[in-house]
Amino acid sequence: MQKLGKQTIKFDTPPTILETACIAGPKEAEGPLAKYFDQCLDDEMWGEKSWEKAESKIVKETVNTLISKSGIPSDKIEYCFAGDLLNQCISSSFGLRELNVPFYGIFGACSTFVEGLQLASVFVEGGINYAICSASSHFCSSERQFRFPLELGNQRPPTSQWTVTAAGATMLSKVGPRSIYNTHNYWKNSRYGNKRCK
Amino acid sequence: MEFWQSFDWMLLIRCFIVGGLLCVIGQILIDKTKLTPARILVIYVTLGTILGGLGIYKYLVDFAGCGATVPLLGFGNNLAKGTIEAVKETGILGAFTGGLKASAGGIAAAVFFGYIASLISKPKMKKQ
Amino acid sequence: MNSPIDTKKDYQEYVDQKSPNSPIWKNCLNAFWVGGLICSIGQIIFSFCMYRGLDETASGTIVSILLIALSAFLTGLNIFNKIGKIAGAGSLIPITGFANSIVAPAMEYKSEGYVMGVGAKMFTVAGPVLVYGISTAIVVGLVYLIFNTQAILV
Repeated sequence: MQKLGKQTIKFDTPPTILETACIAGPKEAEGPLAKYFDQCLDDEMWGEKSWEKAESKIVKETVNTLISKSGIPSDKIEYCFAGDLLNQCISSSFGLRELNVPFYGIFGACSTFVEGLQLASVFVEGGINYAICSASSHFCSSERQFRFPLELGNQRPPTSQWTVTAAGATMLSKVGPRSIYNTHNYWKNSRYGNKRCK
Repeated sequence: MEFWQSFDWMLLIRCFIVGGLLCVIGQILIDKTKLTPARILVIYVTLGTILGGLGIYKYLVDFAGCGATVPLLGFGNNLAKGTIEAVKETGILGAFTGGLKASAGGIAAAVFFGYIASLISKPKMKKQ
Repeated sequence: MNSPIDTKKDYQEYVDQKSPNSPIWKNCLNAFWVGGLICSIGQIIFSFCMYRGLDETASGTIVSILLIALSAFLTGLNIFNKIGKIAGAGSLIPITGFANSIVAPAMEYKSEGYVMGVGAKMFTVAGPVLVYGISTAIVVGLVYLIFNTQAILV
């Protein structure tokens, strides 16, 4: 591993993205990326009693989908980097409580996913075989924490931000069948197309 | 009904216009400034209290009736009016008791109905 | 190469240029008729109470309570935030906006429990209104005690 300049690291053994998984909410399912999601939800609650529990469930199911798609048994996965927007990263830490994989909770707001990839890559470079990176957010739980209650009759300007309801996870590995530059082809020719929603 | 025959339609029209105009001013504040709804409400209440305290607001109330009392300026005016009446009766103690006494009905209703609504309903997702 | 401050300002001007503006005329029109309508409903209730022989203070209180109850009912049915999206200040400025700002957090924070959620956080949006309103009223009362301010405009 080499340090180039102040901010860049160059890996001797670049990590591979073995598999990905994503579960998204109903609004996201109306977008152009819908066919790439593993599962699209009908509503933001997903049968749970609160928005935060729903977000935990989304994170848990995304990581479980990732593990079953990759075919790697979960006791071989060495580290999990996960983060979300809530206080104490509660969705990720409660959602992945039963995973039994050493857990690093990270917070980087919108950059959480890339932060997870970078940190996991450094671990993979250091000799780790398999690591999971996950990031999630939920519109309703972040509205409750950062902005206004949902029922408040305030007018949102056209440029107001809308938090996505989704979780995404990847499996990083040292021992992938393809090098990192072939990863794009792997996604396009994915065998899991028939599991995508609508 | 006899009520409608004795009803003051001109007052209703003035009420509609004044109430609407006060809301338009608020709308301009929402669109043109970065003020959040909570800050705009605070400005309206404080302004209403001050105008009520100076004795200016009652002219608008006489002119427009509920067009001046229903907006939050009217809530502030109500607080000021209640405070001043209590001060006239009981001196300095009235400064502390009067405002809340006058607006007690509104605040109690809001708290109570809010609690009832929380028992019965659940918040739903916003549609853009 | 521009200095960082110039580039930041240029970028902000570029963002302002590309951002879609709120349709201010449409918003003002909607605010006008919804606000006027709510005040008119209040006026009809007020006149009816006066017609029935109640005095001004009691009628005013009844108008407040009924409008608050209406607003709480609509908030509970998930209708008020749709009205607020269209009407903006038209539903915020009348007392319905104050009621909605108490009912909405009460509903939202139910999942945190009835005491620590509903009870403690009911006033997250409306709290400042009460704090500043009551404080200003006390100051007004004290000022009136010292100078007779009601006689400023004769």
